[in-house]
Amino acid sequence: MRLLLDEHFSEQDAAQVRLQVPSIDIVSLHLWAGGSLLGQDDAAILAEASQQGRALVTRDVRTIAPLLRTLAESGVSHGGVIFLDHRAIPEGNTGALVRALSALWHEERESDWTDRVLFLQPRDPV
Amino acid sequence: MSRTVTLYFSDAQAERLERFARDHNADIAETGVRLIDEALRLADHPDIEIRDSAVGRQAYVRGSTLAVWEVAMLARERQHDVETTAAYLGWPVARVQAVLRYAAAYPEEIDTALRENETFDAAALRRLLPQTQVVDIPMADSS
Repeated sequence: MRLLLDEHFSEQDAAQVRLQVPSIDIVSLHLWAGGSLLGQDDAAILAEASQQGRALVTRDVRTIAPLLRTLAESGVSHGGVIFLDHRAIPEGNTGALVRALSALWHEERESDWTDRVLFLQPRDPV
Repeated sequence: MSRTVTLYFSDAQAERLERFARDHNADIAETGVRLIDEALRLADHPDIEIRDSAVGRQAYVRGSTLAVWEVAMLARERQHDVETTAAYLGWPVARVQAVLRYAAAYPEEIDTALRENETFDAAALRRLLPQTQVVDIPMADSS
């Protein structure tokens, strides 16, 4: 299981996850490939992530979900996408995200993420 | 309110406009108006660019994968504190200010995008992508 944090997450979030799980392979889009993919469209990011076997972690359900539908209809695979419900980051607090990704890694680190779609939502109302 | 303005295009320009409209399944007049509107927006907001996306053309931050509404979302979560938002993204403050200027100029467009993103719950996502697995995450001890 290799993860790519979308650009609306901070590099600090990736660092926090690595702090919890030192062996996890997680990178933020800010630094991925030296930042060379910043400015690319979502389809290009997903294609590159897929090539590298990375699942994209994103809060952009609005744009990415319809894109995944289009890709599926065209028979194009992706490396997995983990959507995060907007309520999971109250006031910009990414603590729950860090814990959720750490837990997911423990449970799914050996899984094949090709074309998988996950939606992480808060268990308790916030 | 709308007003009729007559514009003259060269044959080559008209062909490009027709092709663009065809590629976007849109009417040529509607496409022409939209592209001129986009060009005027970009003249006022040089840090923004309009790109095609899965939900149509939308405003993005130049040199970034982020749409303007995503930066507005981050700023809103930080009580519109520009410096905190910039620090979170690792961006210069001026870049965030430029993006939020665009958001303030087109509030309806940005509010609609934010609302659409927030209304995507597990059920809505499953309607679009039936294979979606839903995972509950505990929110206690947020730190």
